[in-house]
Amino acid sequence: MFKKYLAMLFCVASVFALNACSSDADQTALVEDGSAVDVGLDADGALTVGDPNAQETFNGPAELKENNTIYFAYNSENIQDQYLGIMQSHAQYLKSNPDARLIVEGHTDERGTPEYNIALGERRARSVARYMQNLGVDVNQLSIVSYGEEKPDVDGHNEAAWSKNRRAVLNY
Amino acid sequence: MFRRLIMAFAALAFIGSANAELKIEITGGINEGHRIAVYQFAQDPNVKFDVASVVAADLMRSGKFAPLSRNNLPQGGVVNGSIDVEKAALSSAEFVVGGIVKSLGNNIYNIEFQLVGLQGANKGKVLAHFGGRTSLATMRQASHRVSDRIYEAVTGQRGCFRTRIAYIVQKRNSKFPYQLMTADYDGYNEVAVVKSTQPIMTPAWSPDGKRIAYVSFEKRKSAIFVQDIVTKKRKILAEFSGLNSSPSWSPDGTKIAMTLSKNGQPDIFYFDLAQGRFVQVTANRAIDTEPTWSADSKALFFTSERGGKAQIYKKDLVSGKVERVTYQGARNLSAKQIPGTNSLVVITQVNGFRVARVDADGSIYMLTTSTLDESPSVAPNGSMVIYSTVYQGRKGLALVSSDGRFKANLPSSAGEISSPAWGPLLSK
Repeated sequence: MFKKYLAMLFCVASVFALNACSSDADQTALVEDGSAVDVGLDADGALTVGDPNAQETFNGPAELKENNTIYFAYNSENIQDQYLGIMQSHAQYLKSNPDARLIVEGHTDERGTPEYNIALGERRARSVARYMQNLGVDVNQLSIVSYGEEKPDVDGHNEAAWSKNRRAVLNY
Repeated sequence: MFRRLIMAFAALAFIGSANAELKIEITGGINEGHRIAVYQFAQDPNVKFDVASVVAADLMRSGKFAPLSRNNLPQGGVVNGSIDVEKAALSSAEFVVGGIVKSLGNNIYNIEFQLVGLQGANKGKVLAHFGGRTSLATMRQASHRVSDRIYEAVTGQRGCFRTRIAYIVQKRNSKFPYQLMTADYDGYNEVAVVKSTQPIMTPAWSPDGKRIAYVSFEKRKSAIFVQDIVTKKRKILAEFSGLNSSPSWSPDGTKIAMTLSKNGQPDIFYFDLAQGRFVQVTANRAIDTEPTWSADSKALFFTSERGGKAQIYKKDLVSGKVERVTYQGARNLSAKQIPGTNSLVVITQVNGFRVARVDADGSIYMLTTSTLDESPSVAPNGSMVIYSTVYQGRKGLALVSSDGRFKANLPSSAGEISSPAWGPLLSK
């Protein structure tokens, strides 16, 4: 089993090296998995993906840590006025730190289907990114990702949880 | 009714005492199928496994049968695998099943059964029979095979008791909280395929049952992978900028449809496996997503907001024509064609999100009364729909028959379960 694991790691590492030589950013169409992500085999034979010891943290400046979430109304990507200040402070930081890169994560509540929600989450992330651009942030400093309903902030199957889960999170 | 329900529970509890992660709680329709008397098989004492109870549970879950409680069956209806029609008919069942499991030595067993009619013109007729060899390890599969034969003899449809399902388990406190699993359709023989620190979505079976396409967020963005479920080797199918979501394998195995937003908004594409290229199917400013294939692999159903709110549309890939399919309900999502019919199963928004069936004439029938249903997947014989819902405060799987009469929840002992995908019919 251990041997197999090593062989697999080697395979992943060598393919990664190949892909790293290619300049196309969009790796597609049934290529070998060239991920830089940790890949292994569990005792039960399952493929394991990711580093379980990696902490999910806020990678931006400490002063913006508690000030990085924008909440949305149900099925809406409209940014409410009360969150404009949050975006302005992040825009200010990005403009004074041109090497900083912002990732806008879009999330939804659990209602509706996962595949529809991931599209809705992207619309929320895009809406925030567009606003940041309007505030003068360089488009190259911005990227978006939608997690749809897959990463709720609050567990629960009621409006109290849902209202906290319909959100965009600004991370770096 | 209530008494019968309790007995059904007692019978099922006996079966469920093995290490299955998925149990079953019947919540409706238990009395509505064919009444069938499944007698305990005459078994070699080495066989501790109760074949007849697995068969009865299969038949009940299909929604087409109402197996009588074993305790209520007339004495002497089946003796040592031989059926006494007159005695068995006292049960008022339509059909009787009797069988025998004999040891042939060296862990080889012969399993035999007969299905005999008890009413009207069928009275005394052998409607199905089967004999075959098995081992202790494959006794459960052999029992499902008995169920398949009975199901087909009575309904005229193939049984699908030997199919697998894929689903996502979320275990909050695990090192790898997001796990893609496969299991027999009844939850036994669970196998972990992938365990990840980041979300996994939308498992989709290849029609040969050997590979699963799925969405993984392991790189802090979405990507679609295709993985061999036995060797665990995998390849990347799509990791464009933006969404890479909702993979769906064409029934003829030649294409994988998906949603990509690389052009700025979510549109439907497919990857042609023979030609090794992507083909764009829709180009619309509104959200287009959830592509699934028609049975002939020549059209795609998808969810679109082009008309305002999300509804189901169909694109004919030969003529290029797009038509709207659903009109009733505030929103309709997640269409899946029911094999062998022109009907679709959808998630419809009416007082919450429910599983519904849309027939060819556009009429819509609610199949469930819950409010947070999602990810419906239809059994390959069209008889049942598995979906995820919130039940007693937890997300888990549930079954409903395509006619809406039979309902059951499959509460899990381990974490929240979502995204069920019913695998293909394979063995004869």
